[in-house]
Amino acid sequence: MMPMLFPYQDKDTPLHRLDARPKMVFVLAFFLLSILISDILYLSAMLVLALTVVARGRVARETLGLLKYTIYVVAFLFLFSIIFTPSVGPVLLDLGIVKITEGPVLFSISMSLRLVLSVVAFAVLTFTVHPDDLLRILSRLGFKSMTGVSIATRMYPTIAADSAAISDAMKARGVEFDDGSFVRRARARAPVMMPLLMNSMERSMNIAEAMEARGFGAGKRSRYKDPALRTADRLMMISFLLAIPFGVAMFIMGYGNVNYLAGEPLVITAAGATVAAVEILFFTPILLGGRQ
Amino acid sequence: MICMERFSFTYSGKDAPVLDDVSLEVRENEFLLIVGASGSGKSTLIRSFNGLIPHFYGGEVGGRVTVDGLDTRRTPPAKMASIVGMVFQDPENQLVMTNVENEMAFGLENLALPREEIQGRITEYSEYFGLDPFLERFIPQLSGGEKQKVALASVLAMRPRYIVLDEPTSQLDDESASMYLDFLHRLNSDQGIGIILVEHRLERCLSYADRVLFMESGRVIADGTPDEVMPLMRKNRLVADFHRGVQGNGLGDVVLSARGLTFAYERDAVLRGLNLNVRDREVVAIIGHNGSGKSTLLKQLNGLLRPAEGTVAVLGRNISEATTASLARDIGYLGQNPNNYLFEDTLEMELQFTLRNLKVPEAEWAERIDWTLRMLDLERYRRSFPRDLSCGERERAALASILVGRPRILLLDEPTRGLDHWNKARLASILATLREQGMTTVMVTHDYRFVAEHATRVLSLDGGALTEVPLTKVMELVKVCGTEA
Repeated sequence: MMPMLFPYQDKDTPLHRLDARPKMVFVLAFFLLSILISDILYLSAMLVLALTVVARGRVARETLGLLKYTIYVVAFLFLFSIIFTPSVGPVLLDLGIVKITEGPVLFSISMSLRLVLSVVAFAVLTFTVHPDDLLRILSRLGFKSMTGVSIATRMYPTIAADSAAISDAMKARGVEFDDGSFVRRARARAPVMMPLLMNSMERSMNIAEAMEARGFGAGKRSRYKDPALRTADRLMMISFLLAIPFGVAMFIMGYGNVNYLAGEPLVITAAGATVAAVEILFFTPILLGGRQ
Repeated sequence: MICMERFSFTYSGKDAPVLDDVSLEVRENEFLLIVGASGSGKSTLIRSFNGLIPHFYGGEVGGRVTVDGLDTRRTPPAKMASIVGMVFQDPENQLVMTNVENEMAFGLENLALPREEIQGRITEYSEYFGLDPFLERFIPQLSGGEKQKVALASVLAMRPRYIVLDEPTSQLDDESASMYLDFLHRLNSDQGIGIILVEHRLERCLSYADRVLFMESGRVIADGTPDEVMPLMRKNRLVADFHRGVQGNGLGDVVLSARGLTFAYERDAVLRGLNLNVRDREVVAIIGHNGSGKSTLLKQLNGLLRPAEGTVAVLGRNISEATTASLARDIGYLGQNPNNYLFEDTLEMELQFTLRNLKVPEAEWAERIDWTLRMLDLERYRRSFPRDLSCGERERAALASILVGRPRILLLDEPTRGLDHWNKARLASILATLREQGMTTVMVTHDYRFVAEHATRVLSLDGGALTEVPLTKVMELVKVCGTEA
């Protein structure tokens, strides 16, 4: 059979067994802190935890697949900040026209870490939270449009299959896909988009009709699955949520808050290491996962 | 009782009504079959029974429809859902959730039933449908037949009094379709649920139906028992007698050959040292159960997939170095879904797209386009938007976009899927004409009757290799599926 194309990875790991709600709170809090914090030390500690979580959920390979695409952004970040920002701090490498100085390099590392952390947080959400659970939780929070998100997830394999079949059809009509430059190849892909778009529009009309015929939109719905949160789940959520005010308070006090472009160097202090460790500690309960 | 009184409907923006002054009654436990050519108004008629017409599709309404006393115009379709359930053509486009249990719960949640009730109904109906081992399964991983069963179970769990089905088996192969229709019959006789069915696999349905409506141009022109309506169906070629085809090995040159093909998806071996020789002007049919790798084999023959080992030769030339696009002048390929071929504003532009890709000199275009449209009887649609055409016409339009390149060999993947008898007969006569003009055809199909009537040679793909299937064996398969009429 054709290989399955579906973002969610149906695996039996402690992370997958954990209720979706603590996982979603984890991702949210983790994401917010990774945007806030700029200190490379803190960000590195968070990355170690994030990768441990991914490993615990046995979705490392899939996550690396996502990270592959960030390499280009990271490369661009480095290039851009080294060329276009003024020299700050000691010179690391003198290439004549361009002097690579410490400030922009540290800044690029910090930005790249943030980016990678956001992607990993997104990976935890995509690969370990069942889309049906996501729909259920978000629709209860009042996000009506989330129905669409769940259906998009459901349709993902269909659209992927459509896209492959359309490529075949176009090749059979003489479109060369793997010939010539990158631009030419990209151009050749254009005829795939039109039928794909038209198919998707027809499908979404059909789905809307089918949903209406099954009573969607009649009024108040009941909820079939609504598993009670365990005490452990609640404690986890509290811990993840507390990480936010703690992180913000520390940030205001200067921990994790570094402006490398202003020439601040990379320093590791005992106090800084302690604060970073405490911040990580708030998130570690996720490694416990859910019940057998 | 569904009561339709002088009902008419015109889609907004259209001049002619799709339903024209229709009056009829449907009793609660009837098995009603609705037949007619495409465009006769069958789909619109059944959508009027649950209020999708006029609520979902805007338009001009005349007369009225009441279902168990409720006027569909005043009752929104979502409310109607607990009385009239509906199953649609494509299983892909009616399943909302990602697993079976949640899918079954979806409609019940919409009815705002309490959790215990939902649980009870899921258990009851999944057992009835034999879906209990599937509850946790991922819907995208189910087969078409399983998906369609889930769609039916999900609708039935809402305990409607009638179920309306719009060509529910058109995307299924003969075996799954027969099973599905048997199941509908059981539902009707065991549970007394009214079945209102639009279907093109008429042979099987006719033995189950209490009553048949024959539609033409938005009107019901015959209403009676299957026997009473039969002469009209025959006259309109909706059913036809079985004609045994002529088989035999081709004597011409080998135009397409495969040697020792081996292929696997990840670790699952699909083809194991497969050999194939197709001679000039043969019509070779490849049959085999679901997942046996028939489509995979077809894609090897024009380079859409490449074998791990072995070679394919087209017109004596090894194709391992040639792209599919460069082979398109010699070997045409029509995949399962004709929609994937259609995107231009007019059919003519669609054909021009292919000619441009194949670098055919513009001086030849007009002649080639005329020839193709005439061959496929599509001249009157030259300036139509191909996606506005009916299912059978779309199939021919997609075929046109391939034939305009004048290939010598044609590969067809399930060419009769979703077609009624009338459209199948047209396809068969097109293939026959093409053959007279020198075309060699290889098709992959589940349609045993089509194979028995029109293929010159039948091969079965099993265990990664091909074996010849004698006509007597094909005839047995036709009988099992009950499609011989």
